[in-house]
Amino acid sequence: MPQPKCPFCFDKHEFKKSRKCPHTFRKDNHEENEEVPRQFIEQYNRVPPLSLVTMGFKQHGKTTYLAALTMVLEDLYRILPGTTYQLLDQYTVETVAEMRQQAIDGKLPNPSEIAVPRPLFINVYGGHGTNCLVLYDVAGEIYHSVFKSSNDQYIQSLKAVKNVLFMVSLKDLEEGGYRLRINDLLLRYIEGMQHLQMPVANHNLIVVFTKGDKIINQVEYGLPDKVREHFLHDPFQNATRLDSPVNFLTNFHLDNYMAELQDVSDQLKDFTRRVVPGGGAFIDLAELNHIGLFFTITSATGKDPVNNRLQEQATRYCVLDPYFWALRLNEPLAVSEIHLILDGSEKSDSIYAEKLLALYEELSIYGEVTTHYMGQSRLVSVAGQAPPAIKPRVPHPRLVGPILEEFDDKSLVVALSAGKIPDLQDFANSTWRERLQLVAFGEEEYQPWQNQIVFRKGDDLALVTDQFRQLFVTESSV
Amino acid sequence: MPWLLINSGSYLLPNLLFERLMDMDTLETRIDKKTGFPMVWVEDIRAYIHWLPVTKVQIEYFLCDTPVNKDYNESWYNELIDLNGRVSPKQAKKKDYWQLFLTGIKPEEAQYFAEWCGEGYRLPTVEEWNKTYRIFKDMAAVETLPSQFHLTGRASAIVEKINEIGIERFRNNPAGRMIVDQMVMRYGVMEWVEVAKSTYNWGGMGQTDAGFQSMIRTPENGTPEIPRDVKEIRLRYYGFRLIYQE
Repeated sequence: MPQPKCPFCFDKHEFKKSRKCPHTFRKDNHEENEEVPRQFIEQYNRVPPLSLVTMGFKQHGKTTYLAALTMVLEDLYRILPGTTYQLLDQYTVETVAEMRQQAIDGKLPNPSEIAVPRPLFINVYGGHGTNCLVLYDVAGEIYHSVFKSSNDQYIQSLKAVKNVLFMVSLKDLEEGGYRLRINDLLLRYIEGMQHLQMPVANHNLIVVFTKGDKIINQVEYGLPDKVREHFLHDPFQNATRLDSPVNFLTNFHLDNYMAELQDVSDQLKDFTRRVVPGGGAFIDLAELNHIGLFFTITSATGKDPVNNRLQEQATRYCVLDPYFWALRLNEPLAVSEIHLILDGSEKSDSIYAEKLLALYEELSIYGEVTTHYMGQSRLVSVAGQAPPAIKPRVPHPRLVGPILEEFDDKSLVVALSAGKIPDLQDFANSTWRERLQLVAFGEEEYQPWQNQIVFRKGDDLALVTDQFRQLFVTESSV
Repeated sequence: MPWLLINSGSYLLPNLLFERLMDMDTLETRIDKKTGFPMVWVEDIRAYIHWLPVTKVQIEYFLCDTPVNKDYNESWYNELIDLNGRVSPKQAKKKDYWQLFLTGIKPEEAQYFAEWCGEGYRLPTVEEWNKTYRIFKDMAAVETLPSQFHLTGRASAIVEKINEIGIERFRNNPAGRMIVDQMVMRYGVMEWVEVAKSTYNWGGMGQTDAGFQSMIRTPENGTPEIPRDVKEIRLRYYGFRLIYQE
């Protein structure tokens, strides 16, 4: 069984002794540690976590969307029979009750305060998927200016997720005179991830165009017909309208629905590039950084709240679409095992003259790095330990085969060599061709190898990490 | 213990050989745990013997597993590679397949490797080698046999490649291909064996491929070659295989 990752500090603890996170204190009592719900730990395999973090500018509808999502999930049984729902801790129970009361009273949910977001834990069981939804609502203010280190604490939750709800109200961008653009939010995301020393490659942004009711019929926006049709015929729109009869979707198949969502996403992407100011730059920047983009459009309230009042019996359009995308994209973000294999032969001094520590630190961003000398099966540095600064006292033969054969079939390797590795060619027709980055220290290649760069004296080690990044992205996307 | 069914397939065998084959319709095999290479049981010597001479890949496992020392390190291995280059399993051809095998090794070094393999491993005596040879030289090769070892990785690649090269080599040979040929006990490398009554205790059996090293001798008469100065010099065409006795 995989060891659960703590949803508060995102590290791994020994939960057998205590469910309390040793690093996180309760907001209402700074002397008491946060406690992870029992079901979260005990059902970690059977009900795996589906962590969602919101990103978006202030007042763009993040909190309102999450409130609507919890309400729709709660009432989803009316449309998808067999769907049920469980709140896992007292904080979640109280927060969801408050959201419901606000809906009954006709108030919009309170915007998130600038603080470390405390997650909601909601188990959702159903034929479409069973997950423990872990929702983090990050305050929008922190995305309004260039990222500061002091903000790191608020976005720690980004570490835990591969898929981010990237929430944008096009109407609010327009009304703000496009002082803030959609690509600005992406820049904040990339900056934030850099602060957290996390790679953005292979992460997904589920773009949620919020307040869709405000633009769906606006001619000047010119949303594609397919998008309008999908939005207005959302089969789940009346889930929370207890005054409105709904039919069971007995033939609901998530695969079919996802095919439609993909179609909508493609059309919205095209729309974003053509119509949304900064949209083209947004898409290009995401693609340049190997970030996946999936587009949706929702309306959490169905129409503009009258006098800032939310209606409990509102028609909520496409609120589940981002959730379904998250479900579909929720393949665990594997922590890659990265192995640095160093030439330890007589003539390997050139390798140790370089800043190996800097290379190790760069690689550590992508996963746990261990180090071997060529020609020695046992580790020379364990995960978390820097590589040796000097070559071995007794020279080792340049051999990698017995080392590679010990690794699993997802591992990635960076091999630094100042000469020919006799047994490397044994793996030329294996998957190592795509998973091993050979760095030849010298003026030219010593042997043929697909993923290879020649590293000459004075070159920047960024050459190696840039190449490795390509390897990482390719392998992760397989 | 896995047992391999020897299927004569479409081979036309002389009656006597066929009877012998039918008498011994199974081969008991095991995998050498340290390196993953196959061994076959030889009833007449009550031991298993490596299917092929020890390969460079096997020695490389040994080198990577052994704490580095002054005797078995980079320069030691480079010296051997200089005598008989290294070819990758899938790239080996009829003109260079002996480069898969480790040669140039001294008997004492081969003994050290045997110790690393574990208890029960040693170099064969000349008598043991000869008995093995005699049994398998009368048995027709079975092309499908190597695939029945259920090997993985490079061990599988080497055994299959040697078999493939053997098939090509013997395609037009009227004498036919025997199991000793599959095991490369001839047309391969010379193999160190223990010779109790010789000056140096070591001799060589087998027969090299002419492309590797020309020689007149054959293993048919059962007499070992006794090279001189085996402690001092490396013989580029001398390799070895091990036997295993519980």
